[in-house]
Amino acid sequence: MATRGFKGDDDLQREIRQHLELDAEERRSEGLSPDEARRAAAMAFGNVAAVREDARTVWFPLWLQQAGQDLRYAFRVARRTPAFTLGAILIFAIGISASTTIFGALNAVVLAPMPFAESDRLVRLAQSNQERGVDAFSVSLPLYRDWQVRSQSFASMAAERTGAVTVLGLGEPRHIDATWLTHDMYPLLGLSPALGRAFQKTDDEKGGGQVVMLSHGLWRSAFGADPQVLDRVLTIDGRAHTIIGVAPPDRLNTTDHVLLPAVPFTEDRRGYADLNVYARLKPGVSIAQASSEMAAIAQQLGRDYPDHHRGWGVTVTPLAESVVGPGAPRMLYLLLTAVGVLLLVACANLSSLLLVRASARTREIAVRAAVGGGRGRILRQLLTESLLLAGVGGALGVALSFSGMRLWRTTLATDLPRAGEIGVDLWALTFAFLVSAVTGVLAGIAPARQMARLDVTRGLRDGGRSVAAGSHWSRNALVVGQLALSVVLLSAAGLTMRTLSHLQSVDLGFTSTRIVTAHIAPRERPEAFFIDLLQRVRALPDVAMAGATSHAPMTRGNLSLHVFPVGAARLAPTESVQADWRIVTDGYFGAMETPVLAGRDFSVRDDEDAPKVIIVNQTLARMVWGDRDPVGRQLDLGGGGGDPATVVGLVRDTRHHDPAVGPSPTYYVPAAGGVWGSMTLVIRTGADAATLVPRLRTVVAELDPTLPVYDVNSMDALVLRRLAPQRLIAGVLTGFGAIALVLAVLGIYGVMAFSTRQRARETAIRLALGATRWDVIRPLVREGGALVVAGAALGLGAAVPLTHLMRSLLVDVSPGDPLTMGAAVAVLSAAAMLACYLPARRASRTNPLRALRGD
Amino acid sequence: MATPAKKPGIIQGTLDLLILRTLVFGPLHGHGIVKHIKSVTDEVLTVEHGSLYPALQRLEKVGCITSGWEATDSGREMKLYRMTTKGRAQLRAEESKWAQLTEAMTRLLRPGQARS
Repeated sequence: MATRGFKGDDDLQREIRQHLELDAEERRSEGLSPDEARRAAAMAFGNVAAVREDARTVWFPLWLQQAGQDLRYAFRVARRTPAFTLGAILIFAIGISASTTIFGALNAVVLAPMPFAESDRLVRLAQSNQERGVDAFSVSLPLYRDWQVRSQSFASMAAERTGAVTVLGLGEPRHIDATWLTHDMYPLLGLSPALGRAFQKTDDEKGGGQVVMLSHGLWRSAFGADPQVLDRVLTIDGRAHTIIGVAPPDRLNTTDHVLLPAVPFTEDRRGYADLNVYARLKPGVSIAQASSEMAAIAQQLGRDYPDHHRGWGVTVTPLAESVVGPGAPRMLYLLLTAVGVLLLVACANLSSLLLVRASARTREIAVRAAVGGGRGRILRQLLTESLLLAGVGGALGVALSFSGMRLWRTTLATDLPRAGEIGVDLWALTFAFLVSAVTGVLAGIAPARQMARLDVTRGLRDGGRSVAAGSHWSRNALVVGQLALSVVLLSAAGLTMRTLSHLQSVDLGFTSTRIVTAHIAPRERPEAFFIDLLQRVRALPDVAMAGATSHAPMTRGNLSLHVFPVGAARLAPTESVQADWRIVTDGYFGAMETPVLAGRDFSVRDDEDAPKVIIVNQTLARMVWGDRDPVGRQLDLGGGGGDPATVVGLVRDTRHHDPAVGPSPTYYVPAAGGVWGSMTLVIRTGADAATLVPRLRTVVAELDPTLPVYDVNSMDALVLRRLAPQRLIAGVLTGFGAIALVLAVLGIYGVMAFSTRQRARETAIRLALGATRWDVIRPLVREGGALVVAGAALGLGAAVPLTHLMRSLLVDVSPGDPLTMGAAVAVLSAAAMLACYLPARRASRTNPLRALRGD
Repeated sequence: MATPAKKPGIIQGTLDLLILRTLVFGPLHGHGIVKHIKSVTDEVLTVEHGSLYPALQRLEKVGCITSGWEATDSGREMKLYRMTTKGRAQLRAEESKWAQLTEAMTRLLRPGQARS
């Protein structure tokens, strides 16, 4: 078969052999003896090796051939020491997969542009009030219209809000997330529906709104992606809606939901701010320009409607920033930094191990140098060896990072916006490749340079026992570096662990254990419904207490309003407090075990016809009235001089939003006086959710068989979910710290064991001359101890400023906390000293005679 | 990378022409090519093995010849080289270039004769 291309060295060799045999045969037939014929043929042919090399060079440039040789040689070296090779590959794989996984999340969540056309021009507009510390307050429908009419900076503007609805027509009554959006939202984002049409202007008028769109996910899960879904009718919150379209596949990490036109379902009042406003900047308009225009508009509006808008400004935030928020990038950059430190530890570790191994190969390298391997060639050979390890480790690391990325999507970052986009993509692969190359070179450069500088005659003479000059120093430096970086990682891990343990034990103001929560959204007469329901729930077996609230603690969403004092107060009558507020039923505080400190709890008699009453928390009471008893005093809720509300009770402060966020000024209004939408039942029970919920469903069905009971949780789970970022950070950093610790200890152990072996002869002589075992151990341990002290000191010096970078992630512990730092150093030093002691002890137990004879 | 010419005698580039010309008569192995050139030129031109094999590789790489293992008349498996269509075209081009060169050389060395 005639084929194109280089047929390989073996083919050429065979060809030359045949050539020589044929030639020899012909010479034999001319009368030469077989030996003479073979010699003559060989002579006529010349240098076979040179011919082969020249022939190969036709196809492959010299450097490529040499790289191939280096690689083959590297494989052989790797196979010779399988334990070392596997260990090194594993270290590379762990480092590269960890960094690739973290980079993947950072890239998807923070760095990648938002998945919309020209997304860099998309912004979010929100109300802000510096004085009250509010920087992203939602917007009322009239205000949104004012912004639309008065601003010039934007090509278009649209608004939306999110919530949930009860949907009939999908089998069981279902509670489904909903997004209400104005008809301009789709053009703004450059989206078009996957099926049917999007909302148009007529849908967005009063009296319109009998239409609904399905999210792509809901279309698939509830309708099996049926293209005939259009024009079907769903009953949403008791009203018929025709399906007019299906949204394109989801681009952000959202759940299945329905889309409804915003305007018909939004209160047209200035005091009712629940829209999120988005806009597209006109080409060439900067965020700063838009901000200053909006600031001017906000001032006008403050003059036009002082009751509502005075003191309020507007923030213009890039869309990506507003979707992702400040927390996720901070966390991901911290983790990326940490994994970078871990990679450095791994590089230093491998470098020191390679150095030790290279020293053992002194004779081999010296031979190569002696037969004419140039320094460059030896350098390249040794770098090829470490790059091979890094390359295989990198490939394994990429394979591992597939699981890592899945872990992000499914477990670690389910609450993170855009988490669905996390995956092994071209960027992640490029990153992994670069990290492999850089770590391969970093780990290999010190040993390679060491060996390239080798003194050939000494290397040959000393039989591989002597070490290239200066290698002692670099090994020690690498060990100190590993120890120091490990101190940094351990300190960071310690600080986040302390933050987490503080948050887990922080006084929330309520008892989270043994509480089951569940959402219910009754349609008609909700006040009476909840009074009725709670009576039945409290009668259930294993239920100790039960109540309900508009917003359970540790869940998203907030209500807040500015409240003015009425009558004598610490606060002037014109001043106000931005207070959170919640609707709660009687028994809520009892179920939560939040004590009523003064006055009384609400009762079912605090209804619409009764005088307006509220309960305040300690923070609000203190801000408005100082130390005076608030019970009986009055507040004007929202200003505007309506009926003031009378304080009937004072409750303990609670942490509503997050265990990390202190109590905010809060007041509570009675559910009997008015409930909107859904409420969360809070049930203190000895039973678990699995037992309780079927009973609860039965009780709810007795009242209204079409009502879904949804979002069932335990309060502990809600608290835990809120702590997810802190748990993630603490967990990952602790893992990194542990890996770094193991590596650093292995590193110092390897170096000390080597150093001890090097001195086996000296040790043996001293033992033979009558030195005690401790006499032998002491200098070795002292040498190791010096490294540990240097590493710990350097690590402390670096950790104190470095941990300052993570200040914003710490609660109740300061960066550079002496206790944490001390613990990190103590753990590391103890482990490292043990690693120094073990080889020394072994050396002290050698039989001097055997060691001396061994050479 | 250029193959170093081991011995002056064959002008660089001429070797390709000689090989292609030899293969006109049919497929042949390396040893046969050397022998053929030697005998046809009455041993005036000898091909160094050190240059032959790289030259064969080069010609194969550019597609002027192909190679494959075939049993010869003597029953021995030899790697035979065969001219391709591209090789034939290359040979024609080389031949005319060579003709021009020799004509020019002749003119230079014997101005009178060349004119006739």
